[in-house]
Amino acid sequence: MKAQGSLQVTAEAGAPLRAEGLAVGYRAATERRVLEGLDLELRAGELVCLLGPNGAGKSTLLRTLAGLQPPLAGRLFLAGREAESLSAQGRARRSAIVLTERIEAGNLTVWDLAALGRHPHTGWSGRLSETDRAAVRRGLEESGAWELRERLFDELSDGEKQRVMLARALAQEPALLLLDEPTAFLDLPRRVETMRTLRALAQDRGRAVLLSTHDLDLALRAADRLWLISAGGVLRSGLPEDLALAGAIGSAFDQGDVAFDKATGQFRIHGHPERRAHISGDAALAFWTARALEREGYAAEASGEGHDLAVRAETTGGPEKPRWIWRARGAEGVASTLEELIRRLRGHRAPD
Amino acid sequence: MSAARVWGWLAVLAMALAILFCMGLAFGSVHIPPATAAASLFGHTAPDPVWEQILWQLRLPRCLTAVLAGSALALSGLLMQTLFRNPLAGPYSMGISSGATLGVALAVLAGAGASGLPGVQALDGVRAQLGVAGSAVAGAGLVMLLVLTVARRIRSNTTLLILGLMFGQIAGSLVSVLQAFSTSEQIRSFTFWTFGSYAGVTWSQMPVLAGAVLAGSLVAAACAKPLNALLLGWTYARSLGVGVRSLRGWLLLAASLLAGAVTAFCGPVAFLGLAVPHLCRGLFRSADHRVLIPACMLLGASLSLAADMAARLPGGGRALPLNAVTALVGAPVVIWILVRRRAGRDE
Repeated sequence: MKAQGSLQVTAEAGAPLRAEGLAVGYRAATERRVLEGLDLELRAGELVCLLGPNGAGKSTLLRTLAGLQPPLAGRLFLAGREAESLSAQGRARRSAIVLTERIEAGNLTVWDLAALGRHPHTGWSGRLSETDRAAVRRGLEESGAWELRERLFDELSDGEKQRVMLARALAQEPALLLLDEPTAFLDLPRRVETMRTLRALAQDRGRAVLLSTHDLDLALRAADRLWLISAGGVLRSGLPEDLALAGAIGSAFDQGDVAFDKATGQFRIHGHPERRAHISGDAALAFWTARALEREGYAAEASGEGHDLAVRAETTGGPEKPRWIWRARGAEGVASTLEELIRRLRGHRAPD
Repeated sequence: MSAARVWGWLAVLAMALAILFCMGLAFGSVHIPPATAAASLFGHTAPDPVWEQILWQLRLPRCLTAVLAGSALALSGLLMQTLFRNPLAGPYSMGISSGATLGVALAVLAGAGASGLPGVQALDGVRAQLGVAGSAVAGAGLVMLLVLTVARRIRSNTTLLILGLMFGQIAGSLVSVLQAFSTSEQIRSFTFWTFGSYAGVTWSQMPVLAGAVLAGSLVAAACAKPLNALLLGWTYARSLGVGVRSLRGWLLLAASLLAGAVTAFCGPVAFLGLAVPHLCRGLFRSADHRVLIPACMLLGASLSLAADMAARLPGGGRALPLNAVTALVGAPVVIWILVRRRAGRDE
């Protein structure tokens, strides 16, 4: 199999991507460095998510790694070869990119479009050999677009187009696959599916996959490593869990009322709570009770003393008959829905 | 579309071209049977020496010019539509022909009392022809370069089209200014030339026209593969290893060479360049330039021959302006494109 062969070559030649002291940005009248001093490495079989707030330089970094804009300083190696010494074609055989920009492809069928990925491998006429055809087919299958192959690209949905663009990139048979926000424009099931596909590509096919995303939750679960860019232009690399525990995710994203909560792995979006609530009881009920109370300005805590509110959620009457026993300062009661609980709490708080 | 069907359709187009070519030879104020005309080409002398004269000195150069011009304009349109990523691009619609016209006007006037324009009075001497053709190509290239420069800042297809028209207007008004300094004879010749005609190209001019068309086609054929990659846009093309800078240069050269040379010898011919690529895409249901390049050349040549015959329909030595005929076919195609695109995307 050709794919395996090319991957062996990659393994001998070094990591799919390595950067030393890389600086990226724009060179107009004056040079504007968005990120600098980057020492990066992407190993074969690794899925890395590039995270950071808007304007942190995610796209700029990806475009530089893909050779779409020149680095301002530093050295870049693709599969062991210095990127600058590679021809445009040689580079396209080592790395492929999927961009966010939408394309109009006129009369191109899905197969035709994916076959364009063979561009750096074919001769001057672009004629596809059996090997090329097999690579296109594999790309379409691995991205889940094989069933679409005879459709016109322009008639597909956003999610389907995304898969076809991925198939085209895979047909390039790159050791390094770069994707700029592949989950944007997609609904949740499609986002999860895309991530799963990319994971499989990294794990089973041994490609190095780097994608930028705003989907922190999904990235935390699916990525082998995160490259986290904070607003100050510092890139930290590490295991998602290590970065979360070290507070790096919080420091990259925290802004105003939004704060990353280490304990839940999620963002708190309700500012600085003034009251503290102790919630106990059935796990699922407690989770959603905490959500509802956070919106009301309570910080949900699992233990501790001196709370403004204590809620015990019970399912003693059966799973479909939950009830909430609550006690606040100077009042208490039992509610049968969260809506009722909230209404009672508001009524109780109103006088002061 | 399968490879076999592509070849089938290309064969059909080639046959249609051959038939139209023979009809073009036969058709005119003096009727010559198509079979006789075709036989004469292969060395069987026609029974009437006058027929022989008409065939070889008038109709054959005229039909050859129609074939060369039609295929060159269609190919130029195809290249421009992919280069600008704009379905409404074409040599005429984007002011490229006007640039060529300006080049011709300058060349004729600079030649002070020039022997006249190609379509009217034969320009003899290879240097004079090369001068006119060269300045037409330069004018075409200049306007295309301008449009290309502006196009990199503008996303909207329609805006770009209007810009092209404006550049054309500027070139046109410069031509008018030049005309103010011309003799009335020159103006008359020039006005006839702008109607477009295949009748004025002589045997001595043919090699220049044919050479330009051949060179342009060869460049286009060599660019077929990167042209396909360009369907995804410049960024993706670059990520696939296409040298975009040189590709842009080659396409600019080929499209100007094709459109400029034809304009120099036949006048600005409207709409063929814009419409034929769309007809081919529809016919072949393909966007592959390896198919579209030969298809556009064959269909462009055929339609060009047909339009020339239609222009000669009135008979009696009278002819309609070629542009009137091509616009009747081409303008509805543009309207169809606009309506279809508007329907697909509500703004």
